[in-house]
Amino acid sequence: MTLAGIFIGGGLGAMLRFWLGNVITAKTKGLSLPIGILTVNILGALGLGIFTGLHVANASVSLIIGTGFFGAFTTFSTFSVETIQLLMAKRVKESILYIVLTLCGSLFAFWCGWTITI
Amino acid sequence: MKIYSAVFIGGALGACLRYGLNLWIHTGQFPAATWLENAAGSLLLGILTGFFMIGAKRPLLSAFLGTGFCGGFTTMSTFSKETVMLLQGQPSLALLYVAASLISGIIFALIGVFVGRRIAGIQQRKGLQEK
Repeated sequence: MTLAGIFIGGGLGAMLRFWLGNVITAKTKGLSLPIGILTVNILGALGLGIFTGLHVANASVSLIIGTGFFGAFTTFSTFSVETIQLLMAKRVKESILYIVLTLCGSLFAFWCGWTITI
Repeated sequence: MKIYSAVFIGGALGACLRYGLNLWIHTGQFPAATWLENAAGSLLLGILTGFFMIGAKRPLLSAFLGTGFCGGFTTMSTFSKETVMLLQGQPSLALLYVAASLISGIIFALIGVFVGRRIAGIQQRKGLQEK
């Protein structure tokens, strides 16, 4: 049951990431940073923070939403590859900015979500 | 619509595999499971990105394996949660976790891009020879 839930939660998370990432990327075309995945990762960390602060007692629900949905909604692999693509295009400053914004943004967002619901 | 289905199935499989590995990899306080998953996923997405830079574009396969599977298999939210939790009591371990994740993710993605381009190049040359 838990595995089936993670399957659906993960699928929905990935689909929502794909849709939202595309929408944001289309609206921020002129910018030199990959804002789409940056926004998705920060939003997902905030969401997982809020969810963690709620202290859901049911272990299956916690895995389906936390590991499944938010886990798949956010991504580390696209972040790594986008950083490499910026570096390969010799846009070193942008790549460093992208790393700092992703790291600080996601950690701070999780912390905010977690502390406001605790 | 087909592309959304490909992302859904890929993401679902990636999330399930990540869950399975989380159960299987038991470590101490260092979140080794997420670290390994993020590094491995970065390598695979690097290979795919490198391959499709040169090789023929396959939008459905890219959506399934790249956006879906690699995206769903790796995670920034769990990484953030684990880092913030480590920061509560073991800031040095948190710092090590962030540095290890970042460095391995970027290095593996870079290796992947080169390997992927190489595979696509070899395939192209084979194709030319056969013609």
